[in-house]
Amino acid sequence: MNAGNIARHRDYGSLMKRHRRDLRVRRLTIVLIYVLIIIAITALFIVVKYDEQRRRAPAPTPPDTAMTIVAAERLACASTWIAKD
Amino acid sequence: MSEEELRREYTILEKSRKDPRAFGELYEKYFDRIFNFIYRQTDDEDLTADLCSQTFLSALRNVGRYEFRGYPFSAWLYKIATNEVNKHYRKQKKEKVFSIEEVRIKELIDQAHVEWDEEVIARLMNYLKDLPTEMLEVLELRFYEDKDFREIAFILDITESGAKMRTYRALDRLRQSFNIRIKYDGKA
Repeated sequence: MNAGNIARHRDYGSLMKRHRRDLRVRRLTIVLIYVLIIIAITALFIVVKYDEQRRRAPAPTPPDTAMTIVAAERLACASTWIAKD
Repeated sequence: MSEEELRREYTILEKSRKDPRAFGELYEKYFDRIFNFIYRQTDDEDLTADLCSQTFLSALRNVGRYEFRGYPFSAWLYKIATNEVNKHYRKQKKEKVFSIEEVRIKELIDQAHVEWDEEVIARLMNYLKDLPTEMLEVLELRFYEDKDFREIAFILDITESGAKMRTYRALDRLRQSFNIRIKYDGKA
């Protein structure tokens, strides 16, 4: 290979451009990874908190059961009055 | 390489850690040598340009991690270049190529202070073609790049005695086949 052929491949300017571009891509990738990690941790935190709250709150009674209980209580009262009479 | 040159190179490397533009001086200094070194192992100008560019890019990227360990900076560049060439051949699943020009064969014979003989040169070319890759690598670095065995060991990631042994074996075969004596330490 003669010097002339080699010289046309020598281009530090383009090497620097490539280097800067690689650095930018690497920094963006690192930022993206950190953002994804933060999102994942936040999502995990929300899920855990939601699950905790769900376990602490008492189970609500369904309406049918509530009415049956009230009806039974009134019947019991009515029986007591009839018995008293 | 003199101590002053080594110190100057180290100063440039220190500057390059903060400002990549400073690395340009080393790029200009070693580009031709690395290009020729890679070209002899690829025999393809465009591929060589690509691998050469990769070598310097890799060096620039890792200049922050470079530590002076008693080897000149060029040895580190040659090591990166060797790795880039090996990576290329591994990806292509091909055997490494060594391109040795006749003028280089003549340089080798000059070291033996032997008369040129076209027939000997032709036979020598054939002999070198049959040498194992690992021996050619060492011969190339020793006689064409003028590296000492310590540097060769660092570049090829082998021991110093391993580098000497490969050179000695290659030259011993040369002596037996051609009656050409070239001292493996390169001195007459």
